[in-house]
Amino acid sequence: MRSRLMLAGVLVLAAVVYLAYTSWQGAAMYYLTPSEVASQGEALRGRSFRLAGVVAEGSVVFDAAEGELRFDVVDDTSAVPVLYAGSLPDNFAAGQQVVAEGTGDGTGGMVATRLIIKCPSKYEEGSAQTASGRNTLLIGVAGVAGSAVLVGCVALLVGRGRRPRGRV
Amino acid sequence: MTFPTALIVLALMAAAYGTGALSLGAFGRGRRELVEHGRVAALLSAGALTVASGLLIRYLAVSDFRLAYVAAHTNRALPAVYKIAAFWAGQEGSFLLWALVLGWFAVYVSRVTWRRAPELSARALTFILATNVFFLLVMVARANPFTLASPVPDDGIGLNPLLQNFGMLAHPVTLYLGYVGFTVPFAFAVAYMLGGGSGGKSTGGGKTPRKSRRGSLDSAHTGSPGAEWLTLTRSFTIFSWLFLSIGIILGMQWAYVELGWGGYWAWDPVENASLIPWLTATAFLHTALVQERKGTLAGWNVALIAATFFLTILGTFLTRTGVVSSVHAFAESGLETYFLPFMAVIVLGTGYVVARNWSRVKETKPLGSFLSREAAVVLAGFLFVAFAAVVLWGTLVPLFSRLASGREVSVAAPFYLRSAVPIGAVTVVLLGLCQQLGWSRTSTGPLLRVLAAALGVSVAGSFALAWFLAPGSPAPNTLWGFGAAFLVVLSALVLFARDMRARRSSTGEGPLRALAALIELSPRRYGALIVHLAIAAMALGFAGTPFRQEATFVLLPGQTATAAGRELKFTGLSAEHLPHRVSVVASIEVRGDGLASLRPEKQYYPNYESAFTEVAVLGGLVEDIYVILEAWSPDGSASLRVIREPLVAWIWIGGYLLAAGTLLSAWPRSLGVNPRAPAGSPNE
Repeated sequence: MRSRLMLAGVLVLAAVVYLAYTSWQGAAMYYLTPSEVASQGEALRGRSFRLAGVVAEGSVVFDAAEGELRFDVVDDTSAVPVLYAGSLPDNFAAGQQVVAEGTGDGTGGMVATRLIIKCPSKYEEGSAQTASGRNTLLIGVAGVAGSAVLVGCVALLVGRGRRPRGRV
Repeated sequence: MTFPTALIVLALMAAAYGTGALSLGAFGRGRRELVEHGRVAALLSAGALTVASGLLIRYLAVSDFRLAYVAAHTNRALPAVYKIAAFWAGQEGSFLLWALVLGWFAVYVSRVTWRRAPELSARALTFILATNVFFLLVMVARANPFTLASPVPDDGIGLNPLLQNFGMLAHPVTLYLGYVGFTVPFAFAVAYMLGGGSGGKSTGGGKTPRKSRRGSLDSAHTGSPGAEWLTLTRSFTIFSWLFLSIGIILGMQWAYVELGWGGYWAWDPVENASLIPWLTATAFLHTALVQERKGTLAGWNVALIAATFFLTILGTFLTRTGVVSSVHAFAESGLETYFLPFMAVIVLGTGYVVARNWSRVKETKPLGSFLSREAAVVLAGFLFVAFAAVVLWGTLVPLFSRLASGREVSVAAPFYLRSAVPIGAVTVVLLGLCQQLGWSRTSTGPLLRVLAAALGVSVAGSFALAWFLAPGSPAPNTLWGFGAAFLVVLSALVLFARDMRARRSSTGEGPLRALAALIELSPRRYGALIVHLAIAAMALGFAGTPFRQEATFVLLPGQTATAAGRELKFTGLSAEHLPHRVSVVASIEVRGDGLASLRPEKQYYPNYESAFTEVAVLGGLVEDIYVILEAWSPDGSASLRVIREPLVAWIWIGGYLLAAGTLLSAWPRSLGVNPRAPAGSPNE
């Protein structure tokens, strides 16, 4: 029974590896910058990739009747025109960090199927900075407490190791 | 240092002291009186966190913008209920909630569980407090919700409108209860491996009065190895699993109505982070059943529960540090420096403990026939773990590729649809088949007859439903999903009917009374059946996805469009002014089988440049009609996107059914005792 169970386990494992491998091919997407997309242009036709950059000012056009959103994703050197067939996502605005997922159109542009918009979270960063500046004392206290726990854990493990093995 | 911050530091010191005292007192030939210190420290830590949380709620409720956290996540115009919910809107508050929940779990273990298994509980408490030390440490160092704002603003920034939704009130809390809860079963598993409970530990002389009770309670279970450990771990796991499930379902419902979150499930890293531990915990709940009945698989179960705990920490790490990009973006926070060592300690520590004490979980007993429920349950365990492994791989691949080659490679929905989803479908099909198997051994004749009939009906039903939704040739995934769902339902109905017939022929009760009596006699069995029915309902909903249709209409007031077999009449636009926002509302009358009205909105908030979309959904058992107000023109016309979402309601029905079934099977009377089905039942 046990060996047959092992066999079942191995079969499941093999099936999983096979599935993961086959679906990996064609599903793997490279993370590209606008300059990389611009330089690869034709080679990206029909290939899936992720494009990360900033939505260019003045490039956003939303055609509500067709349900089509067009905008450029830019970095310091290049701009990539993106076509997204879907509703205008909330939080979407020029100047925002965006990750677009989709396929290349072969002419240096992209047809996106999913947009990931980084929430405007400047206040979060700001508060984190004041926090780190102000809490130096607390970090000290916390560090001491943490070290005490670590020492305790080590002592515990060493203690276990020295003891004779108990019966089961 | 302000008073609330002092409370957090006090909670940290208490937890750290408790961890230290228990490490010295509860293990080996330790000093037993130190164990008492640990229990008091746990209470003190939880108490301090409770007062701190109460203060944070107060500051949020009265909009005290002296706190940076209050100013960052609320403003004066925010409705009161969202002011309170802002407790968990940001990193700092989330950590406080985490520590608070874990603090009270520690108290529960030190007071309630203690009465049943003091020695085991003392050891488990050590690890629970140690985990809380970590979270409190991160809070004090990097995420203190009581940091003061300078200068103090007149008004706050407000809660991101995407978070102003019913989901915000319940989803984070339930998810946290589930996530945090997995610390407890993990702690008990490690405590057991370290010799707590029924392990024949030699303890020192009886220094405290508790000693004698401890000895008698724990030794009462030496007859079945690790029974106490398993019962406790299993019931805590069910509790956490229930809340994690509810949290995931609520999150799906929320994501369903927010644009840009990719529908109810987008295989986003943050979503996956909740699914992966759910899957390993599900595997544990199944194989723990086998250990309970047969005394085998202890090692596998310890590994599963440790993996589940590790995955919750990994999930928190992924969602809180921004190492993978997600639509559910949290602020990037640089907490890697805290999480990476902690995760390393968990992996190395657990690995060391398990390896050193492997003899405690070494297999001694055979498992039984291949055609038995235990074999099927073990196979299900494998499949859940396989599912989890594939999702984990897909989630972490951007990290691995960045480390290995410096180029980031990621995968999206198509990867999961071709790898994880087939595993899920096979699992549900097997579930339908395996429910019919009895423990130990099953006679094949009647089994095959039932299965052949059920399979035939399921295949026919699957094609019929696909044809009903859209004539044509349906996708194979859909047919598999429908068929699997029908198979599980039929199989469960056969079981219910068979048990009821047996009961009625022996007692002469009416059908409903017989059903009620059966459920009362063995809530675990029927609770599990209901959970399986719930999974079938959800499978039905997922499999309906390919029948999704959408169309965009530009309508003038009074004009009508036809979509999904219904007439949608646009009656006009109106504006709505609330203290915290302005909305533009489109009114639509829907004529199908009766009259309904839909009011999709665009909402404008001060402090936010872009508009926020409030979709309108007309729910139904066959399909949802989902309407988005895209834009409008000065002539009064509106662009409306109308989406037909087939069978989505079944996902939610399944979700609630799942919670109900879990509650039924985990209701306290079934903890510890193991009620059996009536003698007439063929499967018990």
